[in-house]
Amino acid sequence: MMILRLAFRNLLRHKWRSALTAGGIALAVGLLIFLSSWMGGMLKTMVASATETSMGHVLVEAATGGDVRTLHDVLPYDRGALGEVDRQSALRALLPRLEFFGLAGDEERAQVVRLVGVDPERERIASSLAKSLRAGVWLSSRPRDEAAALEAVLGAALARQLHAQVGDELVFFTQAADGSLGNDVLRVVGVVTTGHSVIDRATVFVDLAAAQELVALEGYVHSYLLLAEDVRAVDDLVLGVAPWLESLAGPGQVYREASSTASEGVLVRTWQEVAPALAEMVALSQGVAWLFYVILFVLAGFGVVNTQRMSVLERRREFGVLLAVGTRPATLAALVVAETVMLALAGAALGLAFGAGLVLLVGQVGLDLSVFTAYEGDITILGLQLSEPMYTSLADADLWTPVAMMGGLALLFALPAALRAARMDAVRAISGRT
Amino acid sequence: MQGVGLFRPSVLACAVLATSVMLPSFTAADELPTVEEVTRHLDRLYRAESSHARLRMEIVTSRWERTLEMEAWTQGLDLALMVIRSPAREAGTATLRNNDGLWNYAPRADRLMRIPAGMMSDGWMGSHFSNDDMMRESSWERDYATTLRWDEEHGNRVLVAESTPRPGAPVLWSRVVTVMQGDGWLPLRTEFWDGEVKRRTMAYSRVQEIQGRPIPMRMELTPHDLPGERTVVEYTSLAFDVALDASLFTQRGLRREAQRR
Amino acid sequence: MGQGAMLVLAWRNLWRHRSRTWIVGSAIALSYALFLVVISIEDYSHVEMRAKAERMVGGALRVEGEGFTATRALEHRVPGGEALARRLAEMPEVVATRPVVELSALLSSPQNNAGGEVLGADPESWPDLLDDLELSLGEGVVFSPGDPHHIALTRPLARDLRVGLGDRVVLTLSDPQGEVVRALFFVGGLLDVGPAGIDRLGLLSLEAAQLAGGLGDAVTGIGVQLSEPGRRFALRDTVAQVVLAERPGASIEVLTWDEVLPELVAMLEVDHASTVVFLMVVFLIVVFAIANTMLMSVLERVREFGLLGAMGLRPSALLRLVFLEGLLMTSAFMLCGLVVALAAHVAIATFGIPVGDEGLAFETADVRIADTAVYSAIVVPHWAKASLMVFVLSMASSLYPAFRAMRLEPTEAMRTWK
Repeated sequence: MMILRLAFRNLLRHKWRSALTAGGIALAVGLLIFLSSWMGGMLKTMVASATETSMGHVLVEAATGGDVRTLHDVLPYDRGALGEVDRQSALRALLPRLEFFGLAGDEERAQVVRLVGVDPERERIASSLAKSLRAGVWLSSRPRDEAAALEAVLGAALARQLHAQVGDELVFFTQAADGSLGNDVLRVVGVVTTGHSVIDRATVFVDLAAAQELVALEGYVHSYLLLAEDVRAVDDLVLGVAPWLESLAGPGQVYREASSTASEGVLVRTWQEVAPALAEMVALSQGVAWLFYVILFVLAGFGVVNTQRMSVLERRREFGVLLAVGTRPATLAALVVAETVMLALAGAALGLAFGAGLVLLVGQVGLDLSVFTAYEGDITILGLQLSEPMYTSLADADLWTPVAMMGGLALLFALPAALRAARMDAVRAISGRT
Repeated sequence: MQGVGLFRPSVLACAVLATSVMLPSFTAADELPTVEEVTRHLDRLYRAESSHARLRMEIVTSRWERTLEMEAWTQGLDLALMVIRSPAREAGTATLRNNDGLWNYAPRADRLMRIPAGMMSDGWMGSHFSNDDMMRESSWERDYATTLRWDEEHGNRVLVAESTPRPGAPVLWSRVVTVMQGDGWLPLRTEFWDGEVKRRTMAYSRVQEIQGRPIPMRMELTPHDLPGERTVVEYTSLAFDVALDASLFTQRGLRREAQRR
Repeated sequence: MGQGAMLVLAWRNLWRHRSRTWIVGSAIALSYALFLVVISIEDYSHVEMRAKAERMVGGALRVEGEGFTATRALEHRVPGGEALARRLAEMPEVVATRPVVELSALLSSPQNNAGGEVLGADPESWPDLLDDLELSLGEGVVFSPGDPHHIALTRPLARDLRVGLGDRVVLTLSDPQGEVVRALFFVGGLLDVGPAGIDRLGLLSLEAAQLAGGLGDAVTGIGVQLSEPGRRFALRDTVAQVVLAERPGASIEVLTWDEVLPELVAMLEVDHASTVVFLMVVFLIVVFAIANTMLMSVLERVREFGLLGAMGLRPSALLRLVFLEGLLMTSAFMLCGLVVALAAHVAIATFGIPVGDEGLAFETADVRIADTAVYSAIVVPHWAKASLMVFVLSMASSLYPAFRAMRLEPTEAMRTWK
């Protein structure tokens, strides 16, 4: 403990120098915390957008045995039974979906669209669709008024192409599952931009019950999207809902991989299996982040190394005396190491405060990058709204890695100076001749 | 071959039939009629300014079966209207073709929707006929060159008309074969070939005389790459050169008809 | 003391404190190299996106009928397209022109229908056609000169239609007057699609497309490749004047590729902004590292400076000495850093940094990038800017503390043991 107290006092003896060095570390740690929050936030938004609008963390569909998916590849839908499944602790949300193609338009123009029937209340609570509205409102959960038009939310690019705005009405035709011609009138209540072109350019969202009736598939859906409480524990979620999955298909007919033989039953996939490109992008970003941590800490470390080197050099005489009176070289080395580590940890602690503060500040104020472009419209890529300010959050920040890394690297940085201290020759040191 | 509107190949068969009616002196000997003669007669006989028909369409697919009852009007080359009368779920749904294009009418919405030109080839109302088949003016002569020959089937003599596309004609079938009874030239069937593969067959039956013209009242279309599936169309009533209100083929006229009954 | 002697003294001073020099120098070299590598990786993806966008548009400029991009309707066409393209190609600023006919059509076969993009192009004016579209010839031939019924289809489209070589395909589309027209084709070629190519595409000769669409001698667009694409905004007006002279009264406009794909441009701008923020963070940390080490080094030498002062060295000369030391160290280590950065660039540009099997699939404004590796590209102005920034910073860091130290009394300085 003596060593620690000595180390501390040594640092205090050169306030400016210690402050400067610690400051450099604080800057590196703080800025990296901020960057991690920003990048982490961006990635989280992109993954959330993809999973919440299109595939869930787990996607449950009918097995098709490798054939192209058709209107008739359905799963049973029992609204009452879902309540039981909702109680699963690992499950954050369960979103039933029914989808089919049809023609939507009016007297001026019409276009092939993808109609998706959703449960408005469940989507409002859990998915990011309701939050991606550019105009209007999300679907209401009220039961439909028979005479009224069917509420619909359109992708923004689709709405533009059909020259449809909130309040406009469109006619919709489709071929129902029993061969009859389903038709209805849609009233546009909202417009969304998600950054996923399938949605923005071609999708219309309506109430699930209405969609089932329209396409003559009452009592069925095409898929269930499952959102997990913890994104990292997706397999737990699959285990937790296993009994329900079996009830959809029959025991032994729940498959985790698309295979050419399983044409009956239920196919269950995680989002990484549905969109491997996205999963790889996440992994890549994390790899890049690590690389940057290391490089930037090494840079910050130069300051530490230099400081300690100077510090040891200055105390040559002091160390020489200590050695002469019997202090072991190892002890001296330990002293230098202790100083370095304390310096680093102090800097890291400061950096933690600084970084967290910066994250919170930008979290309030937002960083608007769209000022860098003259473009007026929406710029959304893979769910990232680039034309709106970015807000950072502590939840996305990696707080402890920078701190831990700095502590660990400090040991490394301490070595040159520590070794020099240990290898000193007492006589030379005291006399001052080098 | 103008004006009748539906199922062009059947009209060719009618044309061939016509000659047997109008030229009683022509005996079905070994002489082949020329296609030109047939075509000329056709022009005179089947030029109908308008038509009004009631039909029943039965569609059988691997997943479902259904039967529609429809009412249809045509006028000239360009105008055609078809309204579904039954089943109740779809009653009032209509398809209109006029000079402005092709339209669908949704009764629940009481609204019209323009069908993009690109949808022409899709199955009409889920049947095996395309929008094109139902609504397009016939361009048979323009697109195909026909030769006639005698042949034998099940011990009977048959007259076979082979139509091949003229160079550059934008049609999908590389060969259309119509087989008719040797005597009386009643059409038996039309085969649609894509290279060496027969893709569909249309079979005719229940010939009736309507206003002096012999018309097969029942047509069954069988697609060969979809086993077990077929579409059967049967006229329950048919009249030519009826007086039609010009406004029938407008959006207003369509609404009126669709909402009736 | 002469300049030459100063220089030698400065150099020797550096190496007298070997470890100090190495530490500070490495900080400079490493930061500088890091900067340049990050910049060149980002530049690569932007350069590639822009190049791809330009290729898609057909060149730095595009001549088309007013309103064509918004509606894709054939009524907005460029009459006498091929002749106009030839005329434009004669301009000194123009490297080549590429007339095209883009049709949105329904393709039908006896078994199925499919909507698709159909492109009529002239292989002579577009020799890299297949590469630019990320296609390769699978079977048959791409073009058959003189045959108005020849079409090549991408394999996914051919599969949708269930057709193979020799089969009939009918194109249905709306002509410039809005009438529905049909045209017959026979499949003469099958094309394989690369990861970022358009998977459902039909290729025709320019003439066949004009015939099918009832366009006469008109085209839907002319891509104009400039010898100086950077000057395209200025050259746009020059080209527009020629167009006006050749086709007075026609509603034709000349657009830069940026105006054809504004969404992509915006995305690149915003992406660049975010990279700038990121680089600023790196820069800040680097600033601190260099300034910190420099400061320490100079403070360390207070005693030494006091001695020199006592020996008669004037403050201004001392400053010059420190300046020269800073200059030598900065230059030498920046050079090292540059070498490292260049080596890294060559390595990355040659081998690439793998980003997984699926690649970075990226689609915005219809421009698709699907790379399985990230590469590097040097944009000289960016490197020059970065170099200047690091140099100035490094020099400033060495001078400021020197100023401070200079103002000390020599006797006081010599007594300093801090």
